[in-house]
Amino acid sequence: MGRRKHALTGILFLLPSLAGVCIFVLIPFLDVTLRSFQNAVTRTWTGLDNYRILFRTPAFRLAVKNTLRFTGICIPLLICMSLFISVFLQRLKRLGSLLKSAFLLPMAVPVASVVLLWRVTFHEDGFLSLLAVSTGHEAVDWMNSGYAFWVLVFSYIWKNLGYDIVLWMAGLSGIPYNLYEAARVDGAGEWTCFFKITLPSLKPVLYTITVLSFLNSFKVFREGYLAAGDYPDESMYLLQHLFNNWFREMDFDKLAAAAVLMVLVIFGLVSLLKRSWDLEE
Amino acid sequence: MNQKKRWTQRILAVLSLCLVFTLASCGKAQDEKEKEKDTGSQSAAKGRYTEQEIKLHDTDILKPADSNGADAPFLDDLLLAMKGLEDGSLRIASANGIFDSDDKGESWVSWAETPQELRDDLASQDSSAFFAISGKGDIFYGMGSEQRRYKMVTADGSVRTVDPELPQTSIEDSGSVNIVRNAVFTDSGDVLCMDDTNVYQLDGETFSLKHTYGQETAEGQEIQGMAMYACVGDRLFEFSSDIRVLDDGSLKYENIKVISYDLQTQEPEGEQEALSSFLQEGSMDFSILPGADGKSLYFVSQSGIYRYKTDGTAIEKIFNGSMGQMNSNSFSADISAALTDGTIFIPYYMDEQGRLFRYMFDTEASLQPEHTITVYSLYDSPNIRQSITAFQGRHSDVMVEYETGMTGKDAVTRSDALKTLNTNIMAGEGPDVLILDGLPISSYIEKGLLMDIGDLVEKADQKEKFFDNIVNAYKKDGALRAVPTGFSIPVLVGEQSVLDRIGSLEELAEAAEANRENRPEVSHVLGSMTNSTLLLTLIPSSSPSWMAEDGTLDEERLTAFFENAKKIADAQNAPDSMEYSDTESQPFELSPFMTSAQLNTIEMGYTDSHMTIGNLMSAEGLSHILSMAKYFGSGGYKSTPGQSENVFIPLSPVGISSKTGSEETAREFVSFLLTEGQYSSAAASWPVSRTAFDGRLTLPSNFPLGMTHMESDVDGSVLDLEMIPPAQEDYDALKEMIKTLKTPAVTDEIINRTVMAEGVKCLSGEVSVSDTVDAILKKINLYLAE
Repeated sequence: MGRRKHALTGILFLLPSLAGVCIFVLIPFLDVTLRSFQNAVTRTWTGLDNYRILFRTPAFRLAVKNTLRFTGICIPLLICMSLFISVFLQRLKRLGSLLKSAFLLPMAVPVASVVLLWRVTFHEDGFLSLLAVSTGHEAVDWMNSGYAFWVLVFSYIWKNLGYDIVLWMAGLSGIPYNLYEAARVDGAGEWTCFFKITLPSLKPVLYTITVLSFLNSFKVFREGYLAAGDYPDESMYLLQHLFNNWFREMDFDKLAAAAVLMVLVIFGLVSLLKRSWDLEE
Repeated sequence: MNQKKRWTQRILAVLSLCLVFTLASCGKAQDEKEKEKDTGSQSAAKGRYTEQEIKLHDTDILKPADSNGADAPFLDDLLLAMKGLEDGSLRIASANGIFDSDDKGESWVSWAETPQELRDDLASQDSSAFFAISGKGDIFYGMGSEQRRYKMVTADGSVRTVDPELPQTSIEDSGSVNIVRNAVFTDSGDVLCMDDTNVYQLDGETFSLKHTYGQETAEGQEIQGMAMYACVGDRLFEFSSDIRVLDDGSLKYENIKVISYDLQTQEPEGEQEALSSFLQEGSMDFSILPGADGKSLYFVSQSGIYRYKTDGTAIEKIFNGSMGQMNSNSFSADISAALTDGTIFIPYYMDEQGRLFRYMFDTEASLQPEHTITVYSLYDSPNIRQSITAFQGRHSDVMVEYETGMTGKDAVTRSDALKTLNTNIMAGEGPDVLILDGLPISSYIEKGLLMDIGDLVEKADQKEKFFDNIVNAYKKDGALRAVPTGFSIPVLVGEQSVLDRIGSLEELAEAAEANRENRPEVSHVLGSMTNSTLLLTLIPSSSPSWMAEDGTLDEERLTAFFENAKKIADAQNAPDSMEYSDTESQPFELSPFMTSAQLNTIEMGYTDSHMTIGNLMSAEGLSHILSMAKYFGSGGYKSTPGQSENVFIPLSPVGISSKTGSEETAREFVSFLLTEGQYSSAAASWPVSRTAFDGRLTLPSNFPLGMTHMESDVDGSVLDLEMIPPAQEDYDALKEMIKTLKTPAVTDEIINRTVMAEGVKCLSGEVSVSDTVDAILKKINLYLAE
C-alpha cells in the first residue's frame, strides 16, 4: 500500500513536466510526423513521396554530408581538446580555476558580436587577409572558399571548449585522490595514471559531454547564418540552412520528413551511446 | 499488479483527454475564426468615411503652363492651396489658375473672376510664395523671397497690393521687417500671418496689427521646442512641445501642450487637456487640418483621421488608416482641405507622382464592413493601394486590409518576411490575396497554395480581351494559379541600320564594340547608362535561357552572357556616378524607371549614341522612342536581342490563397484587378487587358509635345528633341509585336539579386567572368537544388 502511494506521489510530481513535454514536444512531433506523409498546404496524403523526394534532393544530400562531416570532426576534436586542457588546468589548482573562467568567456560573447568579429577577421579585406598579404600571400575571401568549413569548426570549438572543460573538471574532481596516491606508490607513472585511473573514471561524464556537445553543434548555425546568410559557401551548408530555406519556400512537407529522419538518427545515435555506456558499466 | 495497471490506464486516459481537448480547442478556434471571416459582422448599422481618388491629371488644374520641361510637373509643384468655402464648395489654387468644385471634386470649373495679375503670379512658380483662401473665396498671397509683395484678391476679382503691419525683427537682424511665411483667414475676416516663430492677427481690411501670439512660447525655443498653430472659426489653437533628439537621431516630442485663444478678445482660454493628452499619446505625429465649419479640427496620421469638435472634449477616429493611403506614404497636409460637411481632401506623393484623395462620409456604407479580406505584398505598392481604394469605393460592404511584408522601417529581411508569411498561412491567419512580386511563385504554385483562377480570368477575358500570351505566363499543368497584372517589354532602340544588324546578344556586343572603335570620341555608346542599369536591362532578355532542364543554371550560357555583357560594358565606358545599389528592404524591380526606354532614349540623345536598350512600358516611352527615331532620320525599336527570344517581363502577378476563408470576396478583388484595376493611373507598366492597353496608348494631357530642350542630370549635356505623338500605325505595330512575345523573363528574386550582385563586380572589372559565373552557380545551384 505504502509503495503504491509513493508511486502515485511520484507520478503526480511528474505529471506537470510530462504534460509540458507532451504539449510542447511530443504532440508537435506527432503532428510533424503526420505532416511528413502529407502535402504541406492541402494536407492530402502523399505516402512516402516526401521521403523519396528528400533523398532525390541534391541539397539535402550535401547538407547531410556537411553536417556529418562537421559533427564527425568537431565532436572528437572538442572532447579531446577539452579533456586535455581540463586535466592540465586541474593540475594548476588555483590558477587553473582562473583560466577555466577565461575559457568560459566565449560563451558570454553575444552571437552578434561573434558575427561581427567573423566578418572583420575573415572578410577578403579583413585581418586574416591583411596578415596573408603582409606575409606575401594573396588575400582570400575566407567565408566564400573551402576555408569556410574550417572557420565554422574553429568557431564551434572556440565557443564550446570552456563549457566542456567545466564538465570534465567536474568529473575530474569526483575522482578520489587516494587512487592516484596508491597507484604512484605502486610505481605508476603519469600516463599510466591517466589511462588507468582518470579515463575509466570519466566514462560516465563522457556520455553527458558527448550528447551535450552534439546538441550544441546545432547552435553553430546561428553564427554561420548571420555571417554568410541563406546561401553560404557549399562547404558550410548545413542541415539547418536547408531547413531554414525550406521554411522560407514553404516546403513544410520536405521539412517534416527531414525532421523525422533527423530525430530518428539522433535518437539512434544517443541510444547507441547509452547502450555502449551501459555495457561498459 | 492489476491495481498498478489500472492506475497506469487511468493516467493514460487523463493524458489522452488532455490531448483531445487541446486538439479540439485548436480546431474549434480555427473554425470560429473562419466562420467569422466568412460571414463578417452581422451589424446592420450604416454610415462611415470612405476613401476615393480624385482624378486631377486630366484636368486643367495640373496641365503644365508651358511644355518646355521634359518631365511632367509634380502635383506638389502645381497645387498651391486648397480650401473648403462657406457655400460647401472646394476651391483650389494651382499654378494654372483658381478652380472651384461644387460636387466634391468630381468636376472643376475655372473661377471666372480670376484676374490676370493673379494668374501671372500663380504661374510664376515662386517657391517662397504662400496663398491663403478665405471661406468667402478671398485670396491673400505673398511672394518674392527678397522683395516680399503681398496682394489681396477679393471675391469679385479685384486685386490690391497690401502692406501688412508686422513688427520689426530683432536688432541682430538689422531691423528688417518680418516675412510672412503663411497665412489663414479667420471667420470674422481677420488675417493670421505666420513668420518663423509668431502669429500676427491683422485686420482683414486695413492689415493693421491687432495682436501677436506666441512670442513668450517661442522665445529661445528654436532649438529645444516648437509651436504650431491652427485657426478654427474664431479660435486659435497653439500646439507647443519640447523636442528631444534620441540616440537614433529621431525626434521625440515631449510636454505637448495645446492652448486656445479667443480671436475676438485675443485672450487665452486655457489648456485643452483632452487634445494635449491625445497628441502626447500619438507623439505629435499628426498633421493638423482645420475644418471649414468653424468648429472641427482634424488630425491626420498614419493610423487614420481623427476629428475634434472644438465645443467638446472628445476626439473621434473617423477613418482607419489601414483602409487608406496614409498608412505608408507621406501626405501634404499643408494643402489639405476640409469642407463644411466634413469631407476631407488630402494630396499624397506616391510612386513619383502626386495624387489627391477624398474622404467622404458614405451613408450607405455599412458601419462595420460585412466582409474582410487581406491583401499581402512583400513590398509596398502604390498601385495596389490605389486599386484597393477603388475597389472599396465600389464595394462599401468590403474592407480590404493591406499588409506589406517589408516596410523598410525595420530590420526585417526578405527571408524573415517570407517566414512570417508562411507561418501565418499555415496557422490559418494568412492573407486572402497575394501580390506575388518577390514571393516564391513557383514554390507556392507547386505546393497548391494558390488556387486555380483560370475560370475567373476567362470571365474577365470576355470583357477585357487579355493578351493571352502574357496572362498565361504562369500557367502550369493547365491550371492558372498566378496572373500578371502588368508587363513591360525589353527593347533595343536605335538607328535602323543598327537594328538591322543586331539579332543576338553576341551581335549586340559586337555592335557596341564596333561603335566604340568607330566613334572613340563618344563618351558612352548606350547613353549614360551605369553598369548596374546595363546589367538590369540585359538580364530579362537572356535569363530564361539559363535554366537548364535538370533544374540548375546552365554554366555555358551564363558564361556566354557575361562574356558579351562585359564586352558591352567595356565599350559602354559606364559613368561612375549614379550607380544603382539594391538593398533587401527595397523592392527588386526588374524594370524600374531607370531602365525605361523613356529615360534611356533621352540619355542616348545626350551622349550622341546610336543605340540603347530599355524596357518599354508606357505610351510616353513609345513617344520618346519614335521622337528619337525621327531625330536619327530613320530608326525604331525591336525586342531586345538576348539569349532568349521575344521576352516580356511579367509584373505584379496576383494569386488567391487556397486557404482563404473569404474566397468569393478574394475572387471579386482579383477580378477587379484584372478589369477596372487595369486602368489604374498608378501602374507603371502595360496592362494585360487589351482594352485597357488601348486606353493607355493615349498620351497624358500634360505630356510635353513639340520641341523640347532637355539637360542631362549626369553631365549637363543638352538635347533639343521634337517630341511627337505615336501614330495609329505605331500603336498597331506595337500591338503586333506584343502578340509575338512568348517568353516570360525569370522573375525569381534570389536568382536576379544574385546575378546582379555578382554581375556588377564583373562588369566593372573587379572580378573575372569565370569567377563571377562560379560565384553565381555556387549560390544559385544550391538554391535550385533545394
